Amino acid sequence: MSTPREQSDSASTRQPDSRLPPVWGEDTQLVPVAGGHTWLSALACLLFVAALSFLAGPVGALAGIVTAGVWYLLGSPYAFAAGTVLAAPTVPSPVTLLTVTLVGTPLLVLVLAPVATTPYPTGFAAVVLVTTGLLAGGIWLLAEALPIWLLAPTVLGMLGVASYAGHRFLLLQLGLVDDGTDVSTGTDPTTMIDNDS
Amino acid sequence: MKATRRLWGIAGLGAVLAALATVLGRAFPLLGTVFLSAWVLSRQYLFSRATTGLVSALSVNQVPARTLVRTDETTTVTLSATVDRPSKLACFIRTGLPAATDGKDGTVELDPGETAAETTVDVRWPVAGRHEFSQAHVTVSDGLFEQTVPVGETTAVTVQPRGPRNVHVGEGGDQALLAYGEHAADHPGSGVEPAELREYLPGDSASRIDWNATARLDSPYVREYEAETDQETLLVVDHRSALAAGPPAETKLAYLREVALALADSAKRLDDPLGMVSVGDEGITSRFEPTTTPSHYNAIRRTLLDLEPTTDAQADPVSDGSVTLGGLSQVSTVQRPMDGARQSLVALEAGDDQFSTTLQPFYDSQQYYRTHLTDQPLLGAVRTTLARRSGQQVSIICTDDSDPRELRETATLAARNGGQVLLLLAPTVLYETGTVRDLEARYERYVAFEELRRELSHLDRVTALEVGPGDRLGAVLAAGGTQRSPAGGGRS
Repeated sequence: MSTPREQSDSASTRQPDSRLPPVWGEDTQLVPVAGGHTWLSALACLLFVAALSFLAGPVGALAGIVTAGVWYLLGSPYAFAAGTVLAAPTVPSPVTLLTVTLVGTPLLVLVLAPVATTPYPTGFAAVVLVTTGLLAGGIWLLAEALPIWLLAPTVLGMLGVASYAGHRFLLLQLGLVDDGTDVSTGTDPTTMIDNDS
Repeated sequence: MKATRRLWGIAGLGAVLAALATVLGRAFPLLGTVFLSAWVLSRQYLFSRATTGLVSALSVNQVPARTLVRTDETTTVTLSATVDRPSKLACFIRTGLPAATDGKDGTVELDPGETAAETTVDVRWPVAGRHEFSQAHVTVSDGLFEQTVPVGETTAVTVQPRGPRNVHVGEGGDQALLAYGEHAADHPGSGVEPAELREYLPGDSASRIDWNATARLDSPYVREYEAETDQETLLVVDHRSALAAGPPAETKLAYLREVALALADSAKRLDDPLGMVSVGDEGITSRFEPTTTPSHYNAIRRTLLDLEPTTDAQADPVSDGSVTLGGLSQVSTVQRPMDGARQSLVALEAGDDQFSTTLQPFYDSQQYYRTHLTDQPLLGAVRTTLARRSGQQVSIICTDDSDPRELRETATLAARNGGQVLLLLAPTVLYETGTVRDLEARYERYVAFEELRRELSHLDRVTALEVGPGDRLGAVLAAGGTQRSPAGGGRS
């Protein structure tokens, strides 16, 4: 596993003849490497440490610090995974709404951190909040009705459906969607152009 | 939109958390899956916005240096990309070269912050036809997602097959208006084209009276018709090794073949009897007696298209008698008696009896003929062919100027037979490749050829025309100066 710095170096020394676009560093090119460790991200990590310390004492603080380290070394996605896995055995059981709010808020801030650097802050924040709200709310509502083994794939399925919808929407915007119209049999050229676009 | 391995890895983290929740029987780990999902979808949103913005601002052009090339030529294709404003995304643009091209695809990378990039690639065009470029393909990626989009306008390149072009037939650089086949009968006869009405004369058959005209003019009239005549034509096509001179597919033979094909088509259209003799380095390679059947014209056409320059290296038919000639079945009928005569002569020379002594002079005459045919195949072929025929036939001889002495003898021999002779000559100087500096020297050689052509044209019943690429002839004449045009006609 390479560090963000190493990944940045590898991006800058890519071969010019390479057919594939380069892979950038810690975050996507749209969320630059330099912006991967913003003050907002750091604040989110501190909040996470504080929240786990409040909920589980020193053990929780230790889990929070480890999570912050993972964030610093591997990036936000791995920090989500590490933080959740470490929080699961440390937070008191049963899990209450307060617990979820205290653990989830710093992670939500971490997801939202690039809003300060992205060129599309409004849409970005809207997507994050709507996605988080829908999925978290859905889990909260369905947890009573569905067993966990059914709930887990349901969440993954919702992610897949949402991602595929975004994919199709992009194709539509780029005019790459074949709507099944046989342009060779059409009679109105204007209509055919509109169909393609 | 394609997910990269990095994105699949992150999605796998979400799946691991979901599996952990299932194993532990607690919903808490699903919280991580939720945030990972939000993270993925938010990045997907950013990528979509940036990609649509970049593609709308991107202008890609792929411009071939030439849109009209010849087969196996190499041209350059320039791929350029400009974007109105710098983008945070890098893109990789690939040309949409047609499939029937040889060469590496042109690619340019437009890195983040850059607004223009350009590259030029060499492309070879081995296949003739019109080749449409497809749109250039832009691949955009942010490290998590990747999308390829066709952008820009398409263009096309027309690839012409190599072969004779701008075929010039003329004299002294001037185009000759050669209207082969249109021949007036100059006397009335039993044709179908009405010629004139004349008053009935005693002795005319009553069946020849035009009753409509007679009723209209109130006295008997007879309608005369133009007589239909046939112009028997013999095409002599030289395809010896000297006719191989010239660039590939643009040899002397290729140009002469084009003219010969046109003459054959004209003869077919006018229903004139057409014969053909092709002459290689060893002598006659194919022979067609003049007839007018459609299959006959087609056979001549096929033979013309199949003709290739022969080589001196081919086996001498006189020496071993086992040569395989590239002609039709008629070749064997010509060669076999000669081979038989040669074998008989060898047998007679070996014998001293009276029978051999008596027959020796007859075989000696054939021996002389055969030697002559070997030394001067064109002259021998014309002599052999015309010896069988006489009358008002037209002999069209397609050859070059590599052996002026044989050419003079051939033209003289053909004209002596009584018919018209048309010499179609490929000047060697027009088929040589060289630098621009050679042009003046070439002009002098062209003048020498023109003198030979005029000398041949001055022979009775002989017309000599040059056949060659018009553009090269123009270049040679331009090098010598149009005021010194050998035609002396003040060409413009």
